[in-house]
Amino acid sequence: MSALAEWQRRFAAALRTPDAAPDAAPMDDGAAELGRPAGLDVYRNNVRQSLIEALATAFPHTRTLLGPRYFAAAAGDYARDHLPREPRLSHYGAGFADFLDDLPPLAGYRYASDVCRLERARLDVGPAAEAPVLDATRLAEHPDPARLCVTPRPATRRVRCRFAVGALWQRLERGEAPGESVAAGEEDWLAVRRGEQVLLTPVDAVTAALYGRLRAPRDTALGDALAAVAEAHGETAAGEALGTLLGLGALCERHAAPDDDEPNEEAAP
Amino acid sequence: MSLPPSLSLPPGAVGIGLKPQHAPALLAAPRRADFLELHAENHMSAGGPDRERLQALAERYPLSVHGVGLSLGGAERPDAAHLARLARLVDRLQPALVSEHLAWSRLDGDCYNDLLPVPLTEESLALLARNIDIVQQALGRRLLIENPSLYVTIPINTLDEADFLTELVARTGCGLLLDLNNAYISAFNLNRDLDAYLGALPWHAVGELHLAGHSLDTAVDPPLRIDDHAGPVTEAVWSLYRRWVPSAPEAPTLIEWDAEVPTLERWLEEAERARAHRAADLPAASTATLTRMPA
Repeated sequence: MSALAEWQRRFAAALRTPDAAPDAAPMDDGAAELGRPAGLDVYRNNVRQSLIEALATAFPHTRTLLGPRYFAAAAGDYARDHLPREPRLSHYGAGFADFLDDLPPLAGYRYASDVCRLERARLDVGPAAEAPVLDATRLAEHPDPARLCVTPRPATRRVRCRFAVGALWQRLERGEAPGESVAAGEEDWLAVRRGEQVLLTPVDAVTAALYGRLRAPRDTALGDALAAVAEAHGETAAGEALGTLLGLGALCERHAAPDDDEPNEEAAP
Repeated sequence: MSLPPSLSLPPGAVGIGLKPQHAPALLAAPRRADFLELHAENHMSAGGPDRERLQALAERYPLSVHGVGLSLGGAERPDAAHLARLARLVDRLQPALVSEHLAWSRLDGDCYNDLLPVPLTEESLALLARNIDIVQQALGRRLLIENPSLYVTIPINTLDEADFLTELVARTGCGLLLDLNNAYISAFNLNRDLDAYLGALPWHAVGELHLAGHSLDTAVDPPLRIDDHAGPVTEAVWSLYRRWVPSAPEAPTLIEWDAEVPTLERWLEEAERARAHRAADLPAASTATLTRMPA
């Protein structure tokens, strides 16, 4: 290992050690010359504080639910254990909702993790690649729509919530007090960017199922996806689900969907 | 691809940083600054409204792309995926300037989200030169490297920072982004002779000047100056600018302001001050080109 790499490891270890005492400074054989533990504290604080602020910026509604002090403490713990894996700070925090799920003090507030996931989806959709929306007219004009390969637009995400957070989400969006606690109950949501706006919409299970079918990495003919969903939920429901996805602007033709060449590398697969 | 003539940087241009809240005003009005500097990592998006706004601004303003995430001063090579993202951004925007830092931030896949200090040794110099070569090859253009603001003296240093930068320029052909605020902060925090440091720099390679605000932390003894970019340029740094700008009369000047971001008008006042100092402190021949560019 190069001397530089070795030195970096020791410096990084000191950064990750909270409130390192002067005699625990990274350059054991040169701590005296380092001279200023306060200087090391500046770097340590910059790293920690910038990540806490990045999470606060990314998850304002989650911060409202947890309260600023508890949020900062939780974000600090997350930052300590989960440094970014790439330099784009707007992509940081893909695992924050899962982290909140495991915090014992939040056992009675698990819906906060769902809100966190919705906020993450909105962030991920905002800068995603553009693709022309497949609308009902274009679909109707196609000579053989059942054979058309259709996929969700890159600027869409599905989020599965374990709580009925719809009313809570609307209150948070309006800047109102969060209000009463939220009942358990699975809900699927779609985040869809249209123009400058990202819309977050609860959808029924059939719509979520069709979205999932169409998101499969292989080329999926629309007719095959609809048939699979109809087998499980009935033709009428499958048709209505397609109408919902088209209405939300969630779909595009696969050949028109560019690869998202700036994906969030921290996002769960 | 060459820049359209209207988007080239005139000698001695004065620019400001780009913040999303100012983008509508910058797009709506006649050109408000000579150029805009953006942090590369904030704009590496595949689509969406930010990308569209940035493209519109690129058609209106000369841009400077300022990276913070390549970790050039580390022992590792630049991350290939991140370098590819930077190359796509540069290709798309065709900025007038591209810059990065004498710093490291990435180790074993973790990103520390700060500009961490680099030991000034022969080994560091060789690795940094290698990394700059990789980036300059990938981008097909010269990179400017910014001097750091420092809070610790590194005991294994064997080279002086000015000598280190001089040799780096000689080996790689890179330019320097001289941040006078950083130079001032490092001199104060490390008890370094500021005039000797500035006097020893390779001024011929200075391709951009940075000015910014900083704060003084008196809670520690002795106090530390903190590079927080949270206020106007301090008088001490303005004084440095007036003394040293004649050494790089054509280098563009950027006013940074990254925290407690002011109104666009307030920020532009700082840019006007830089312009006024240049007009007062440079020979007439050097200021002749400093008139406002047409919108």
